[in-house]
Amino acid sequence: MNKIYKLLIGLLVISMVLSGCGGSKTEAPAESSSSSSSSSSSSSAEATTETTFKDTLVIAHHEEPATLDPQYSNMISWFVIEKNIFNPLIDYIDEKYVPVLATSWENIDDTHIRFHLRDDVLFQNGEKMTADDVYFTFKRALESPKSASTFKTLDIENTKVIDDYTIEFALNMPDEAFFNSITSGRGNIVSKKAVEEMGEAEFARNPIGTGPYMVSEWISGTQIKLVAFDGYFNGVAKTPNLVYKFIPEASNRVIELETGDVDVALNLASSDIARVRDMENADIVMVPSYRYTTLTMSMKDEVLKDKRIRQALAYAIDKPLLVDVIYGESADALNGVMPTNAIGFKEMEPTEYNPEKAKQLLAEAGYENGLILEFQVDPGSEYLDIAEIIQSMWQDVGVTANIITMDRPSYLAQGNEYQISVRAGNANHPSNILIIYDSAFGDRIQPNDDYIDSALNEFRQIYDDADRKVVLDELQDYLWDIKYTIPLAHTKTIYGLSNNIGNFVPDPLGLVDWSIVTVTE
Amino acid sequence: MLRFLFRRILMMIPVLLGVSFVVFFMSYFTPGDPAVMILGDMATQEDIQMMHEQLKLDEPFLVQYVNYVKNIVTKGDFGTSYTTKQPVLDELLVRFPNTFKLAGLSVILSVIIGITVGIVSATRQYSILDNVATAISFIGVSMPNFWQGMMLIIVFSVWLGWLPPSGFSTPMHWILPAVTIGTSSAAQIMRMTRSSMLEVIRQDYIRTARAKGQSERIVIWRHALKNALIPIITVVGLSFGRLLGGAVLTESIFSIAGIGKLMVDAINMRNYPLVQGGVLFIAIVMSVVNLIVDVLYAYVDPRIRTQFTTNSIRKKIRLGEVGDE
Repeated sequence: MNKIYKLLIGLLVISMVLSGCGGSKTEAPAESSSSSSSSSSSSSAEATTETTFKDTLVIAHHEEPATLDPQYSNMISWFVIEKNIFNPLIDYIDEKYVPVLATSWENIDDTHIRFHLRDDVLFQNGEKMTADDVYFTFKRALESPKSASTFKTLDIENTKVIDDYTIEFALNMPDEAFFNSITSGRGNIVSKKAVEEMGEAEFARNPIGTGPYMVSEWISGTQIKLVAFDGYFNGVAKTPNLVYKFIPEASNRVIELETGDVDVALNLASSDIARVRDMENADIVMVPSYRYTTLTMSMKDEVLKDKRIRQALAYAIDKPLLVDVIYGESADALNGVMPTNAIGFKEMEPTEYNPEKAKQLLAEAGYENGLILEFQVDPGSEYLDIAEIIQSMWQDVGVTANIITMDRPSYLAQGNEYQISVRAGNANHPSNILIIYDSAFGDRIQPNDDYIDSALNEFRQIYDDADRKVVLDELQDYLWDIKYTIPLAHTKTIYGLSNNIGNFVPDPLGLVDWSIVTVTE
Repeated sequence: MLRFLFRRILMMIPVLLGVSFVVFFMSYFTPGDPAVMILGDMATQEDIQMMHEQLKLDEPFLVQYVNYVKNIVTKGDFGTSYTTKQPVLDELLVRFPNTFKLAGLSVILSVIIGITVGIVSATRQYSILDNVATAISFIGVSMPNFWQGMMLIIVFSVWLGWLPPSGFSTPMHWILPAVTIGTSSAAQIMRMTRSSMLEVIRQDYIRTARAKGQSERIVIWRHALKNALIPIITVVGLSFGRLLGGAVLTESIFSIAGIGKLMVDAINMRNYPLVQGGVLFIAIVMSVVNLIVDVLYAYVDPRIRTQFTTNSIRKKIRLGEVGDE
């Protein structure tokens, strides 16, 4: 009869083993995070200045990057972290290009651009940054499927390192957009020596750049901890430790902000704005992003080829109402084919909401008895909400939209052809925004429009701002009129900031330079 | 017993081979190109082609599968994640301790609550205590985990400020997620304990035990519970196995780096090496849990145990040379 005891003891032993080995395996992360929190609480004692600054800035981020290797990155949420580890040659601030790792640059001719580099920049491994590292960075960018098309005009064969601090880029054709490509995170300069020594896979986790912070610890799925690099050429970061905690749910990022577990919550949802405003210890900072949503129509489709149908569909959408319902104050209705803060944006006359006119146009096109369209939406984000509202607006004019929620690869793999879709873009340069109208671009629109193709090719070759504006304005007018797309909304980037954050400069994409930010106790 | 273990472990090999083939087959023929998924819709044809070459997606199905199995058997190499370029096994092993800890704590919690309340309910059938326990268990079973998790966060983190709202690094972080999962499976175990105990309590041998003057405590804990344990062990084993495969919703709510969220992300990104490695890994874990459950059956029930004894021992028993134990 004491078998029952044996059993219970057995169960107990098993459970102890279970909990025991679970515990021992995860001791490391447990220690690390407790040390980070204890260090933040003990910092007040260490700081000697009048205002006490915290030594750790904790940021709630929505997504863990797959890599911190800039040439192998293609998500804004990854560049958000890389921004603090790396620097580009130049940056785009207040509508102009400004020097960062480069001191100056000049066009030798239409296809050769010479950059003069700073001679006082150190990588985080202590090596000096030279033109060799710059050359290496762009060479590997062309070998990465995530960066190659960004730098497609770069002719790396003929690009020359003139001396340690001078490099001359050669281009396949004149390309004003090349400057913008350099400022994209993919142009962040990496240490040649570090990449070659570590190998790609190791570098992706422990990258070496020239930025204010370097990776000290990366706990998969939990957090990345950065520490200030004391050799940073632009002055050592104000806060010694920077922690990115990965919290996928927007509402949880708000809760962490409320409880004071994080100092900053990135990428909040519009539904959380009111809650954060109500908090005593935090507030909202909102700036226009470069993100915009657009309804796309396929020109391979016989029905949608008829311009009257596309106009009718546009007249049937009450855009201000749609944007208000979906986004509230976190987005504006978009009247133009690019986000309003994009380089060279031209504001257009809004398309009026006019169901009668829509019905009339449909009747003229031969669809007085209604029309059925297929509306593909990718799962996630606000796409489905947008599609459902548009569906009901179109229903009023006799257009039935069948919504199919399926991600793009599956949709295409099942042999589907696009009719209607919603797409979010995220860019500030016309060459990256208007590329969706290019014949060479994907499947959603495919206009095969000779004028667009030549205009797209033409404007990026013009270095003179005024001359380029003429071509670009004309192209935007044309796109607005031809209605291959119906631009919908231009969204804002929403930051939740605790009140102890000082010197914060918001960035449209969330690429904040945290090295100049202060956190008081 | 050893022979039984050995046989069971051998039997895992065809199971795992089968699982690996099915998963590989399914992911190969699932619509959707990983390169398109990874690169997004701004990618050009050249980018996609470059990605295909880097990921070796252009090789035929059987070549890929044979290489895959070969690498696992010879090198213990489960492949490399498409997105992070880190070894799949590393990705899994980093997250497994969290999942294991969460599952273990939840199961311990649910066993303690479930069995105790279940016994009380069964021995005092239809009493107020039983009715209250039954009502609470129905609430526990039907309350969605994500909702319960959010409520716990709001109460204990936001209002009271006692526990951290997310993460899984310190014991303080473990409490809310473990309670979230533990209570819902406790309800299940409690229902199973109650019905199983009720069945046993009506048996003749319980009446006999009582008739011979055995104290009620011993009657319930030794005579009744022991015989009622088999279905309870089954339920506990199943829920432990299920939890080791990851509790996606709970992991998301508490921002825990566990297997569940890793797998869902991998599936969404068409990160096939990680999906395949993950499923295989879960299959191994599940097999081991099943094995443990079977061994526990044998411990609890002598009838099952006799099936494991070897022929020679059986012969000796028949000849009366040795007794059973």
